[in-house]
Amino acid sequence: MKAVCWTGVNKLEVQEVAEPTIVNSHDAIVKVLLTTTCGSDLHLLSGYIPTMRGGDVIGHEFIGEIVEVGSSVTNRRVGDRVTVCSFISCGQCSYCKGGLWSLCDNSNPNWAIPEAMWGGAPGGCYGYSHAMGGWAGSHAEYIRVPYADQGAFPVPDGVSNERALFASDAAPTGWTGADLGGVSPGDVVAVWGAGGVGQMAARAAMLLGAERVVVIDRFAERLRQVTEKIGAETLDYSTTEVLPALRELSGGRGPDVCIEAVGMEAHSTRADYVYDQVKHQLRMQTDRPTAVREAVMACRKGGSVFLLGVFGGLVDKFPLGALMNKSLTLRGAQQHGHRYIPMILDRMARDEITTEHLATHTMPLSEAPQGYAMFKEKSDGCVRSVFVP
Amino acid sequence: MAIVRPIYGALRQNSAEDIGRWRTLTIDRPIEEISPGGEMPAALAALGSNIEIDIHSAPGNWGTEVAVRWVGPKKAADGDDPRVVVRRVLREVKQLAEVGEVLQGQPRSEGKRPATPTGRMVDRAEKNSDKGAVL
Repeated sequence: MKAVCWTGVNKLEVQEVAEPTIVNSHDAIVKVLLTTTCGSDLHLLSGYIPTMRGGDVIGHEFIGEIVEVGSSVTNRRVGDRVTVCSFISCGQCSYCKGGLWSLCDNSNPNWAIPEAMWGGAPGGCYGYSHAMGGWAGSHAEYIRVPYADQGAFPVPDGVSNERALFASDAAPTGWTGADLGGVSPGDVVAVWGAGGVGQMAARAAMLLGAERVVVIDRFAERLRQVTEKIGAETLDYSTTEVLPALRELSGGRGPDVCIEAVGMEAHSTRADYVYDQVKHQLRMQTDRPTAVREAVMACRKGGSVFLLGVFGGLVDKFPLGALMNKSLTLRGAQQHGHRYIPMILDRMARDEITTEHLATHTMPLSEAPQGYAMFKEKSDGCVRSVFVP
Repeated sequence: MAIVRPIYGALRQNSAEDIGRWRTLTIDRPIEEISPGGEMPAALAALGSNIEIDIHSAPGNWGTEVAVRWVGPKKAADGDDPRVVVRRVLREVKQLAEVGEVLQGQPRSEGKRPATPTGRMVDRAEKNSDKGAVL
């Protein structure tokens, strides 16, 4: 079958690979219907995630149809149209049972790699490096889905593939940030990043009752989507000083909840961006926390900062003094999608969450390398490239 | 490496003290399921007198803590590092108890695997992924 393989820094190829098979009895094989780029893939492409291997099939956000199930799969059937959570979770360990599904104890067979890197292993994730299990990704015609009863969610009739696709990762990731960031009715919420995840975090904050939601970015197309499709306010940081603007929008207090949806390759017009960029390019630091710093400085006293953007290693010049003296809560997570996806699909069926606008460019899987180039450069107003296998 | 070791503790010296240390894993099942009637899980029982085992209920709702200490020869029967054997078996016991089978990462769909230095490093890390880390 055809699949999109990482072949080196900023290199992708469509290659012929073996079709997946049922390996464990709780597996399903899913025929991929749609699969999309994610901003976090760019960290893989750029070589900032250190455990990628030439030939790895990438992609983790997808929708498909079940074509085969293992003998222990009891709640899913061949023919089911399913959104599959990008994180793999067993549903049986303490973390899954506690709702922290992306921390699953039993879905990352390469547990020693992240334990050495981070002191503990998160669960596995499709197409996202060997530290996250080495699982083959979704930019392929077929994909193996372990623990299918847990991670493959039937899509309600009436919800289109184009909408349900983003219930796989962007929407539940955004919901994870808003929910675990503690968004409450009446809150002012600021979101850094107007990509798919940032937009979905903003939408989740609104649905959780936030009084005012402001999304910060510099790309006009994305900011326009936030205004027109999500219904939140925007700040263009290339023309506006973010910190005073946020204070102005929050009665001088600062946002109650600050959600960072940018990650390790943040951009800024501030001087610390130059500092981060130099250290990053020289591989003297693994991550550029430029947006995180701003979120910590912007947040009101006693407020909450939530990291949704992906970070892999160590950062420099972190404002720990602000965190401690302002009594902030800092939390981060990969998405705990299993706890949110059924609710999100229901809301999609009721048009409370719409996502089709994110798919600005749809193309055959064979054109995925060009789709990623467009997505990386954000050319032609690209928000997400979507591939049809 | 000398700087990293004291910070993370994940890369430890190859000392006899470390080999004989208790290694503990928490399993989200009641002790009656892990050790019915005081019986040991089969994978642990197979290690015989090479190990000491302490199985007890975990605090809170965490289930059962299974602690294993290697007291056998410095090399396991298959020549492996005893620490590797203990870690692998503990993981196996946990997965069998919690999900009924051991998750297999292979075979998987993958493209051409060029022999690059970084590729070899990743291959080695994956091959050793049941050996190191915090246990």
